[in-house]
Amino acid sequence: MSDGHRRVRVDSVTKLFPNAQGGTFTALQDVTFDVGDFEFLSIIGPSGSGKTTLLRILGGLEFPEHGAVVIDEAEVRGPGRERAIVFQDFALLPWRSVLGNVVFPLELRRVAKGERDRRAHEAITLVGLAGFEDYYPNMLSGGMQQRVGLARALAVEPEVLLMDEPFGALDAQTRTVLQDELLQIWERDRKTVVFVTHDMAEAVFLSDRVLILSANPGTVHRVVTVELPRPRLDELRRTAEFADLVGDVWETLQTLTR
Amino acid sequence: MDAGDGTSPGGAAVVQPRPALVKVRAPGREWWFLPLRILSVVVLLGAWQAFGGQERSGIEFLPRFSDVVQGLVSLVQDDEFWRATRDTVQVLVLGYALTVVVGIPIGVVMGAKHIVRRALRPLVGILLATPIAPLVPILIIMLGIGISARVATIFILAVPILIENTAASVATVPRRLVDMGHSFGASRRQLAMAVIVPASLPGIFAGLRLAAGRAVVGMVVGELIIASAGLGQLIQLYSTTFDAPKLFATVVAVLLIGLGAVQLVQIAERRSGRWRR
Ligand SMILES: Nc1ncnc2c1ncn2[C@@H]1O[C@H](COP(=O)(O)OP(=O)(O)O)[C@@H](O)[C@H]1O
Ligand SMILES: [Mg+2]
Repeated sequence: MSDGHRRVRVDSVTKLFPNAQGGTFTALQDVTFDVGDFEFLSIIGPSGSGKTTLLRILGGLEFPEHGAVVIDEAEVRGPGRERAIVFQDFALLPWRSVLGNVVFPLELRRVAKGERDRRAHEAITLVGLAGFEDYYPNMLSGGMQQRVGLARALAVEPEVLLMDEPFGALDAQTRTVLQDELLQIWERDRKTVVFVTHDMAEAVFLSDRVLILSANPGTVHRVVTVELPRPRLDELRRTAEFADLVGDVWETLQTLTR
Repeated sequence: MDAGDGTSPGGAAVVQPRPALVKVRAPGREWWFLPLRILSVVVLLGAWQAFGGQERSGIEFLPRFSDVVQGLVSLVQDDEFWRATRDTVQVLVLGYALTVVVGIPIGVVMGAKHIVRRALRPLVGILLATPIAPLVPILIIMLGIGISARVATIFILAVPILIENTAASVATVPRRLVDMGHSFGASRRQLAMAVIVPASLPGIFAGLRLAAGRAVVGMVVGELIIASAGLGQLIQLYSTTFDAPKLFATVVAVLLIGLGAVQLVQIAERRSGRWRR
């Protein structure tokens, strides 16, 4: 529910990539939307609709040819301290332990050691990994690895959390568990979240609004507002209202992939 | 800690973490491995002993194994030998240190920057393929017959393989790790030191190992041609005086230095590699 003032403004963003024929490919065209303060917004769309590209632009890893992203009245010109990304493939450093991975961004920011460890332990506990601090990523399941990815992002205390299909690589069971946990964490400490997914139920369950992108070129096709009450618990997934909303998104996506 | 009970505190389905150190018997570690190894060495040395010591036109062309051992024993008691060894090792250490200090940064920049890679690739390729011996006289003209020319010989032979390996592994560091570092605001330097170099360590160590081998070759070639000091000078001396036992013993000393150098790199590699991919 975007009742607060807007935190993120995506303004007529167009992104071109060089294609194989030496021409250009329009990945995103004239994409405009706002994200409210403390809003949970999902972006869904067929593959190739530019979801990752959009998130990378929000993260300051990629730059649009036209248009701009404005966060708190400042145009995004690169990565910033108020944002943190959770990556689809976890992007953990294999030579660092769980604790080492979570303190990594704090080391980059030269946070003092005591403070660093305190914040890291807090984030690790929050994602349910207390006791696993000394494990290395290759000893952890995918679900646990992504908890580390989430803890790392939370440890920098971002105002805007950017997540690119964070649970896409996980099995269905683990995915719903992590969705529940993400919502619990978010209820306790609300942040503005932009969450990319291709899973309709996931988008509906988590979000205040679901932004549906169409492909070739990526454009905003429709925005679905999810009026389901919070806090949302697992039972919600088996209600008729939930099923209706998922069905609605599903039908829209059907027309786009045909 | 509930690290072992197979469920996370959040009640999530979590796989039991694999124990970190499952002892798997490496192939070739069977009980008969050591005896077999010893046997093969014994057979080789026995053959050497049997066929050695024959003379051709009055000159012993292959000393017996026992003669070489005797040569080694007398060398080890010789101050001249130790002075030469110290000199040789010193040059090797200098040449290798220079190789590491110059090679790794150049390799990193080459791997990370497309333009630099384009510019330096041909040069590195030429150096890799060039036989070193003809270059030594040029180095002598440029640097004299002191330590510098020998250090330079080692450097020129060893550095390209280190650059090549470092660059190749830096170029294949997963993009997502670089993006991750970038997204959390890593500076260029931080990205290099905290992400790119550690991610490239396996390849860098492969380069260090190959470079150590080539450095030893450079050391020997340099000393044989320059022959102003070191074990190379002793080899020259014993070969012109046809002192085969001492000559062989000196060569063995050189081999041992080479083995030791490569071994040291491997120890460093093992120390740094607690994690596996
Ligand atoms: N670096 C790039 N160079 C060229 N084309 C790209 C690049 N990144 C993405 N694309 C293209 O842009 C389109 C959108 O990609 P992406 O944002 O990954 O879509 P999604 O995440 O929705 O599947 C795709 O057609 C993809 O091939
Ligand atoms: Mg994607």
